[in-house]
Amino acid sequence: MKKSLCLALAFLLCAVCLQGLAPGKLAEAKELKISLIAGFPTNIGLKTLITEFEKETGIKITLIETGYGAVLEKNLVDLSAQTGAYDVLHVESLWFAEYLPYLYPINKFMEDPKLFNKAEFDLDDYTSYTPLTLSVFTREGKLLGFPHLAGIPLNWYRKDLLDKEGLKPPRNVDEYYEVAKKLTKDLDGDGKIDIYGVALSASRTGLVDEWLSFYFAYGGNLPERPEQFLETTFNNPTALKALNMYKKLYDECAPPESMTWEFGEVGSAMQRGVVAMMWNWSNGGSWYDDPEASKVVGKVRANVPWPGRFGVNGLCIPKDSKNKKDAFRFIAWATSKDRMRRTTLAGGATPCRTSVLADRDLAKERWWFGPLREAGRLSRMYFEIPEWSAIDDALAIEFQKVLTNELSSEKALKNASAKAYGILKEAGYFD
Amino acid sequence: MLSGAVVILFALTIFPLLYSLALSFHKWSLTKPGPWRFVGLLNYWDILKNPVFWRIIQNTFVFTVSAVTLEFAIGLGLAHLFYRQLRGESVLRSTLVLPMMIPPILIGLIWLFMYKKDFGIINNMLKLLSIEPITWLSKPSTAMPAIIIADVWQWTPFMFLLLLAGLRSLPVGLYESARIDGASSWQIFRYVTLPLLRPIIAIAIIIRFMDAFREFDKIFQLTGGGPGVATETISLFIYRNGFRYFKMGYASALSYLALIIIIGFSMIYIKALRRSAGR
Repeated sequence: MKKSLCLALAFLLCAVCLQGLAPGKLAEAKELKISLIAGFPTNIGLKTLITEFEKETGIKITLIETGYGAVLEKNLVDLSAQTGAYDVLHVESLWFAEYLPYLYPINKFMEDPKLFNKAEFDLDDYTSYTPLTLSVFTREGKLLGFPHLAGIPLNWYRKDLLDKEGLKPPRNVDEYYEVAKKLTKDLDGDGKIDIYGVALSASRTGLVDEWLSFYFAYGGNLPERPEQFLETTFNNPTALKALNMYKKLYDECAPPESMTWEFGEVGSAMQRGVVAMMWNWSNGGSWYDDPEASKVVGKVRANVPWPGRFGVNGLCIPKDSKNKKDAFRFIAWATSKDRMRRTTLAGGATPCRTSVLADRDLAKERWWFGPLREAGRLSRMYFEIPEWSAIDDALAIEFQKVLTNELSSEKALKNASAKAYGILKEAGYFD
Repeated sequence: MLSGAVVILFALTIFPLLYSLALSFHKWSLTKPGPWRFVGLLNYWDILKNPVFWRIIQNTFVFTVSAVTLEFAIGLGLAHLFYRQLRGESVLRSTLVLPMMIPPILIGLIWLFMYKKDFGIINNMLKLLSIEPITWLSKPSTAMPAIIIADVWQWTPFMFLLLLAGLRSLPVGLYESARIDGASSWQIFRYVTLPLLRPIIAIAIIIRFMDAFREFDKIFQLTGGGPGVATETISLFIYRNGFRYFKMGYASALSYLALIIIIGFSMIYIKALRRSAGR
């Protein structure tokens, strides 16, 4: 009896020791639930590597992908109800202010050498791309997530068509129009346009990003802080010039269907070979050389004629997560140098670490990495405030009325600027 | 047993209604968590003095009235066609009701592709008739009709089924007497069929009116409310304020105003029907 008891105790002791050596020794969580925005090529890369994390830690990873149009509202409803539905959130920088009250700072974890190897992770690798990469996710000295991808719009153009006409890629908005005008053509002489000079993201959710890039290109600026916004901020000669140019492009050089297009549809028009140029996000970089989906393989190139919005995306931890430590373990793992390189290799199009963008092997195949690095240097951010969605929408409604000839550009800008001012006033920025 | 039913009813219906009613008197944003701030009727006042709201109401009525009228007219025509048993009726009827069974968001997607200028079937058919392709969803003048057409395609079968059931339940003897008295087909339809069908028509129109007034999926998918606010209806406006701007109190007040409009309209309609039936 004594002998068997001793044997049982020895067995138990061994089992405990072996458990300690087994994967998952450090982990406390059994499962991590990750909310991702669907449709990002980086997700494909991430999915291929997840089994490695599961083996290393013994934590099961569950990915919950939600479409771009619905993810913010879905997540905010869950976060406000403190359901603890997610351990990691994929946060787009444009929505960072909306998420901010629900995010948990990660500095404490970064100080723990068992959890985080500062030297190996190399935060400078982010900031050497652009300081915005980290500053977007920083508030009052606290970091609230690690960036894992960054999309910036580039001017994508059909090199074959430009070469045929002896044209050079445009270097500013006026040249963009001139080139677009020359490339808008009726190829078979039936009186109908077969190829348009540009595709525009003129839908209500895409127009303002594009117009603002024209506005910046013409020398326009946003005040540093929303408190400095005036009723005339968007109602000035530069804004008018940018809007008139936008309308000219829409009327003369873009498919009329552009009114309902944004990122995806614009990219698809380029893939189908019906447009010669587009100012579109870098996230779709790999689409144009995909022989299964594109008619223009090897014919598209990109340049950076003016600044665009820096659309950095990060992995953040919600306050209501019950597994914050392991969630941190995951985000540090997923955004490390090696992992970012490998997710990019497996399908990602827009890494946000200099080491990955400058990787010779990767850059050879992903030819847009060169322009992307330049775009990162020039890129800008808008006000990071929760009211930006409302301002964006108010501007888009007025500008669409200009495109459909319901309003003059002057009147639209006056209305848009006054509405934006009203939104900020109601939110208490001028109190 | 009864108390269980009451608890379920309270939890699923009455509590959310009271909760949103209370919220409509407060300011509260999902992006600024914290206690609700009582503002009384301010949300309602802000909505009523917002010119965009009135444009949205106008759009909603244009959409609802046009769609329901067309659905009723076509549905009644089809019901008449099917009134006398046709050969292969069951197959035809099943085919006709198919659109009603497709999820609304998918209907939006189907019509989005059908309206495409380059490869949409509608523009291809127009080309065959030597008509220039139309950019249906990019112009205010065609965007709303395009949405109405999609709704009519989806919901006419509902009207058809209800009206067919109503027609077949009418007493045949009345028709025979009318014919013996020398009434024409139009007179029979006008003075026999329509008055007898009135209760069914009222139910069909009220159900469709309430449903069309709340339409969201197809419009969201097809135009997102644009160009400008040309196709934005009350449901989209509530969604935009609630889930894009996260103004939860304002969105709740909007929902209550929409509810008041639906109830008000239905009551007026029922009253008018009763009055005309009494004459």
